[in-house]
Amino acid sequence: MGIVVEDHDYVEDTIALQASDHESLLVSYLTELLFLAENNLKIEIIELKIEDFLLNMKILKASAAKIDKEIKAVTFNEMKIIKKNGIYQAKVVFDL
Amino acid sequence: MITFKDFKRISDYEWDIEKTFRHGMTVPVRVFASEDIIKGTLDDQSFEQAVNSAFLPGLKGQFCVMPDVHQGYGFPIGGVAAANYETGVISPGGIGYDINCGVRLLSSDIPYDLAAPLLEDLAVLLFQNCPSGVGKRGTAHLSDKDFQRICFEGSKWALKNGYATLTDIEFTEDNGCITGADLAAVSPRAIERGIAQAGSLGSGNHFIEVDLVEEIFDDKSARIMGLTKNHLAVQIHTGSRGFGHQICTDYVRELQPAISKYHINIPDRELVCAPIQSKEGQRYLAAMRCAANFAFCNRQLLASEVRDIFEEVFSKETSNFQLRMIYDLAHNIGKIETHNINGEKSKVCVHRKGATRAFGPGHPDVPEKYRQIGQPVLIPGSMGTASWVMTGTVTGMGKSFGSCCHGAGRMMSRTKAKKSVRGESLLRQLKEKGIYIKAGSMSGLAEEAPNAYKDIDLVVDSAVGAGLAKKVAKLRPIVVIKG
Repeated sequence: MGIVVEDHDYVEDTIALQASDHESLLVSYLTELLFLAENNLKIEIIELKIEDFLLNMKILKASAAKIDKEIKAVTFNEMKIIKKNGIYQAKVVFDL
Repeated sequence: MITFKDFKRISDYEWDIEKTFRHGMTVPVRVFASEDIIKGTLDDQSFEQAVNSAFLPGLKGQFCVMPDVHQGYGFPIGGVAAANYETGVISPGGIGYDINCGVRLLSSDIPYDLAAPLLEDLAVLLFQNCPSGVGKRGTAHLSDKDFQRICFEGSKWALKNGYATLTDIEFTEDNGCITGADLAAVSPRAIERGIAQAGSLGSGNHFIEVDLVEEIFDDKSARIMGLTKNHLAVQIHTGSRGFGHQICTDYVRELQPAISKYHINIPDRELVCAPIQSKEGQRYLAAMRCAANFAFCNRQLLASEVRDIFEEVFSKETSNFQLRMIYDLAHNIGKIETHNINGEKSKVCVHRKGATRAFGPGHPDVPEKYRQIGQPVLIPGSMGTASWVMTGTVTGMGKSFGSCCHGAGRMMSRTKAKKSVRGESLLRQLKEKGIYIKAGSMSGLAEEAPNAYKDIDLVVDSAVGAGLAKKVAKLRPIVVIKG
């Protein structure tokens, strides 16, 4: 989203998300990031755990000066999550 | 893959993809467009998405595709579907993320010659006072109670609080307030995203545009609407901002289990839906109406701001600086309407995603002033190109559930558009054409370059050729405010 950080006054926070499947969890996760960015926050993920369809993360958040690009929503459109050589790859389409 | 051979010609501007084209379609797809537009759209997923959308259960008549069609998410943009109110489904993706994105048109008695020396000042003031861009706070600072009232009352809240006139309300679709909104169906996150944004434009293709009425095609209709050649008019294009985006996001996710629960067969998860009469369907309808009412009020608040600026800029030059409401309409919405389908009256939920309601003469939902000529249909062009004012037709009522196109229709992706032109040079080119642009972001400006869109005149010719609407006036942009 092209976020420019104003200062480095980071605050720690935790976020827990639950969904009915992996695709929905990915949408929830990205929607959460979108919300934080819309509120002029830049985040740094310091811990992220996914168990089944439950995601827990510990983040550091700081106020950001400017967001260049608005993302309206994270969509399920043409969404693909694949595992290749032990690494997950995902294709996600955003509504701009 | 869909090729031109799959289209059966009905007329120069009407083509069918028959119901037998793919197993599972519940209705055929009817495309209202010229052969050239269809051929020019085959390289994206628009028609594939139209065919997928024709799988939705309980659809009546046909799935309609407007001439400005382009690829969306699940549903194509420029798609119209009417689902049986008793046995059909409602799909958040068939309405879109920006619930009640729409357009408002205001007219004036300010001649271009009088306004010309003041246009640059006007552009600066509009840009400074109408919040635009990413995540911006709106002009209204709302308490929780005010926000709740906006969700229930829409533009009527603006009337009670001095931001609207009775005429504004009369000439807004549904009088700016759809009944059946229920905040209990809306997530706290959606409220959190929306509460600060009432009276803001946003970014993307949203704009405030000052236009010159360049050409009149129907004197009588233009006179009734109050459009005069060479006078200024104003268009406001925006929607429900983060509030609507979040409601759609919430329900696309929340309805995923409904697919198996109600044994629904859809080829794309983005088309997720629930029976209209189910608990899930009713909850989405109630939430969607909150966003629709918020969007009506949002455009009203911006119109109030624009009026103040017009007074500031033009009141020293003329006593006729007022902006009169012509019409305000939604082009991303689901509405419960009654239509004559295959010879019988049917109550349906009409999904219009990137499509404008275009009711014909005589319809009781058209304000009395316009009942003789049909509902005003507002079709904004891309930045720097013409916009069109049209009227709905009786023919369109039967062909497209009283619907028409909503714009030019994107034909180049945002990424491609940015690669083809630089924002700064576009700004210069448009200034040379006498168009003042104020934009928050140069890359955002490049994404909206005119060459990223179809030729609006050809799109409008298709709508007219198919009998969906009649031309009234053509508007030329002179000041554009972009987020």
